[in-house]
Amino acid sequence: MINGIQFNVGAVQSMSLSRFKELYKARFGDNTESVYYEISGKVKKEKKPKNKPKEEAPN
Amino acid sequence: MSDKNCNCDVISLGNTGIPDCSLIADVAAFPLLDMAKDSSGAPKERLKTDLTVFANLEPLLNAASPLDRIYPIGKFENVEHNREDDVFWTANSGKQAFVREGFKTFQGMIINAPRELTGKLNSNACQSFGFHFLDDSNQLVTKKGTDSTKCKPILIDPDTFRTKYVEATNDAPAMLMLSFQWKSTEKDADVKVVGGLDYTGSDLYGLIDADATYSAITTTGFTATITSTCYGGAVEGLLLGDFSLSEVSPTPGVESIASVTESSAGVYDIVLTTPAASTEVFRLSASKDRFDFSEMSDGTNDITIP
Repeated sequence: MINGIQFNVGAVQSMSLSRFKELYKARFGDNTESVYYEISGKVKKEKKPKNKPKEEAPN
Repeated sequence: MSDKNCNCDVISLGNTGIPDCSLIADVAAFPLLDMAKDSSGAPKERLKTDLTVFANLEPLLNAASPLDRIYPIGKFENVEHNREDDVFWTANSGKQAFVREGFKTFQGMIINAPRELTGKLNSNACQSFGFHFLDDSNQLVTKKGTDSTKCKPILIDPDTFRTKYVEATNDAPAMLMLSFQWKSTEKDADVKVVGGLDYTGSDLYGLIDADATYSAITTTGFTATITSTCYGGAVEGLLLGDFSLSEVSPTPGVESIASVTESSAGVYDIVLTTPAASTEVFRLSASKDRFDFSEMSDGTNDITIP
């Protein structure tokens, strides 16, 4: 239970983050995304920094 | 009822020995009403241990089928539970002949019972049912079954089952008075006393009817306000697992609930996992010990998505 809301974990796991935000943004505000990951047990994918092209060694 | 009770198969008198120790019933204290037939339509017969062991009894107090359920009705005081005098015919000579056994009547009072219970009990009068009871020595008094491990309800004549509410006075509290007669076919000799209960009458409870009204119905969910239909109080403390939702139309099936929030006492905000379409119809059910939610899911107040 989070903030008085009893979540159906299986239902949240089957739900996309955008759908979760649509339903609970008003309740959790800026924390909505972290609540989603906490309930669903999913791991937030960190955006990988773009690899800089390797500088080729001078011949 | 005649009850001549004459056994013409033997030509001697019945033996009159009694065991050194036998359980004797005390004053009736906690009647347990029980339907005469079970949900399969067979005459009701229960395992004795279903009524003597609370772990077996509690599921029967909460049984989903009203026919299988046990209905305790509180602690009775001033109980009178007697058989009227037998009826004899008297010849002109003065000789008497037995005509029939007197009817057996139960009468007792529950102190400070809510007056709504009067209506609940009086509505039983058209049913076919019986009772067992716990006595003041915490023994179970019931009717013998087909073998020593089983028991049956002592049948009640429903025409005689009646409660009335007795208002409080300066000298006495308000009371509910119940009286009924045993069915004329029920014999004192068929009643047995069972000891060794692992609970007392104060552990017993009957179910409270509950129903819901719905508001704030949208495609994402709705609010259900759940109250006792008879007494009006909020039904608090329901958990997500206590609810189930089904789609009635257009595609019958189970509907997933994403979350439940009890926003105030007995008021539950229910969010659907997948958005509903307009005109879809849902039916909410609930299940929790001590409550009967059958009115909630009887199809009279389904939820139509606007």
